[in-house]
Amino acid sequence: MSAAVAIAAVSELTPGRYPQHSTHSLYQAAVARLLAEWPIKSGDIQGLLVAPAGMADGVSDNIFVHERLVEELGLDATFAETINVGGSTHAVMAIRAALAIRAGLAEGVLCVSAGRFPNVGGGGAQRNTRIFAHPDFDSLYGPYIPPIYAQVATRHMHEYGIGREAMAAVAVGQRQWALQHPQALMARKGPLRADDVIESRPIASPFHLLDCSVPCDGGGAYLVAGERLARRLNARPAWLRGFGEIHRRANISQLRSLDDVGGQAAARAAYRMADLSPADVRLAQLYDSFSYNPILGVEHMGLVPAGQGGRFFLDGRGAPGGNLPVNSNGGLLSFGHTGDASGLSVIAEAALQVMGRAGQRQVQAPVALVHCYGGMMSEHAVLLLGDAP
Amino acid sequence: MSELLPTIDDLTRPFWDAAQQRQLLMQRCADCAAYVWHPQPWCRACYGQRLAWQPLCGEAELFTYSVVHYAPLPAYASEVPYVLATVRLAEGPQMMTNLVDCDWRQVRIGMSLRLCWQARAGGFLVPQFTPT
Repeated sequence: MSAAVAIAAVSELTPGRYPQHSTHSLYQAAVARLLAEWPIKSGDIQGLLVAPAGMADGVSDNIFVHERLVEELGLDATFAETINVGGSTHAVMAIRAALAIRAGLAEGVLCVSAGRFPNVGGGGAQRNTRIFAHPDFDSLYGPYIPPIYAQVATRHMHEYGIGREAMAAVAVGQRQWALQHPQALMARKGPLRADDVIESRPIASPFHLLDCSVPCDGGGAYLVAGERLARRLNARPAWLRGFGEIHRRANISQLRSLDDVGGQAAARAAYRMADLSPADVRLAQLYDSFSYNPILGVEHMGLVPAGQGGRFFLDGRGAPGGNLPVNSNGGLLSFGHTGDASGLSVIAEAALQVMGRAGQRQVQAPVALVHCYGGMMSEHAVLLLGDAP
Repeated sequence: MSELLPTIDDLTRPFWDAAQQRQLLMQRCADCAAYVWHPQPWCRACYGQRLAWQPLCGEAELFTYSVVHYAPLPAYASEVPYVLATVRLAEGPQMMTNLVDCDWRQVRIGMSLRLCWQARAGGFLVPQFTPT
């Protein structure tokens, strides 16, 4: 891969509810925290990418948010936009930033996200069903996000004979990680037992309540930088060794095979660019809106053979003490799902681990993989971060 | 029963007009014979724009499903538990549907299904599938 690019700085808001903040002031809080925690100076930022909060509601007042932040940061930006690729937005931002830096458009690109994920019962599902399922046809049949994703899980369980115990193992393991993370939303709920998950109330088979991620507000920001700026800001930046992305279909009804969901192709591209293989990955951050998704994720990222994802988690391999940590911040299941900002937490954890800044939950992660998808697994972005360029 | 109705425009009107006569139509490319679903102006396989509405046989098998026990959607809240499903039609394309007139405990991937029609508000018919 050509000129070295890194995530040089990253900061997150604590996931929760922020009734005292307008959505825009959540963006400002995310930027303020980054500027407080890192020695970023005026003039270091030439590019800006911002995720629009509110998209999951079907309307966003924030489609020009980059303009406001350009003004508030006093930028004379040569590269800026509000960018939405659903949950994969945040990984795609890193890719766009790296491309811009390599093309000489910018040396530092600030990526910012804020999100407020409404509670499912609060009308959000009604508002977004026509976005996440074809509005003229599929949406006539009562789809909303859990039963849409559930169909992928049902099919995978059928093909490989995987049971709900494996899903429960994902949720239990990620709660164990969250208990080591002072900011994780569900840490205060204490440990989770497999039976808690299995016996929680049914939502949409195979998902029960504790198989679902936890809606909350939050956000964060990271700076993607060329080599010189990255080294000035951070003695141990998270180098972007490789990336891949793929966009396929809009409607889950048009998914015809589990072999072409999309993550597989994005991962292959990332490994190829980085000249790395799945055996090099020591930490996997796998976007987990539901407990089943990491099972698919470890398979689609090539970390285990197809059909072995359930066994991977039943054996505790992704949990604390396992040989391939998965979602060491607790994931969307236990760290919290901040809606439009959700993918930020997936990337932030990988970057913090590679930087050696993960505190009590620090693992040895010379190479970390990030997989984010957007829409109803419509699009996939994979990043490979490393502790050397 | 859900009273959700589609919005209909010039593109989709032939589909819904035929549906009211209990006939399932799908666009098919006159140039390469590929089926096109959902309706759109061009063929996804060859980009040809000569698409004709063709009747389908109404046979399908269950590709995947979810039994919905909690529905935050007002139109479906009283329907729980209901089955949201993706079916593969005999002609090849896949559609989202519900499985109706069946016990959700008996639903199995691969089961044979046939087209049926569900009357919604004002007697408007929408396609559904049921086990054979």
